[in-house]
Amino acid sequence: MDDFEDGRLLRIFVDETDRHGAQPLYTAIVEFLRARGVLGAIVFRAVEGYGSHGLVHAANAFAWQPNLPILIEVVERQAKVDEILPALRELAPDAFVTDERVRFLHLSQKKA
Amino acid sequence: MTSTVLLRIFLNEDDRFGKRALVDAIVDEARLGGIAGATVLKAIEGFAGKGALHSARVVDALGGLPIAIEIVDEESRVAPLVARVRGMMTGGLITVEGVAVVSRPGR
Repeated sequence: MDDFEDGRLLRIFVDETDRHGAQPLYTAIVEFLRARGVLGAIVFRAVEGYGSHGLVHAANAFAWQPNLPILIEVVERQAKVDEILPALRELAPDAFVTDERVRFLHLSQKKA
Repeated sequence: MTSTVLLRIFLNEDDRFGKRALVDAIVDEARLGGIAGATVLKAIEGFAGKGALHSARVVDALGGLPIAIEIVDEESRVAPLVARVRGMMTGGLITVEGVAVVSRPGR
């Protein structure tokens, strides 16, 4: 793992029903990250959680439209994270975002 | 003191290693390599570099969803696994970070 690069892992917490204009906020965030040429991002839908609104969101049979927590994880080089963070905050001002150091290896796309 | 690391491998559920699903091949590789454990999480969307890890929105057109495999063990055991796994992957991302284990089975 000696050739792994120093990077950062951002974890962005939003709700599934959060909107940015006509599209879900998490979709807008992923498209923003891709447009900025970010190395990698992955989106998880959680099964339960609570956050800024203090409401527990859970997937259960009684909620006809559950509003589940969404976690977006972003891996990028140190400097690039500093570069995109202001625009990300503007795009998702109410999102809870954590930032941690990781080492990473980006595997180039070869023909499978 | 040995250091414990969290290894995370990002790939697509449709990625193959020979005739097998790559995710299964990597989990087997970890198990056979004596790694303490692995957890596989399915995502709904994602990308790595120019290659798509794909999205639930386009899953019918493009195939599988992104997968994250999480592994926690001593760095001395994880490093040889990484050396084998990177040769099995044709794209995607691998991250590693230090973690503290505060409870484990049998303690």
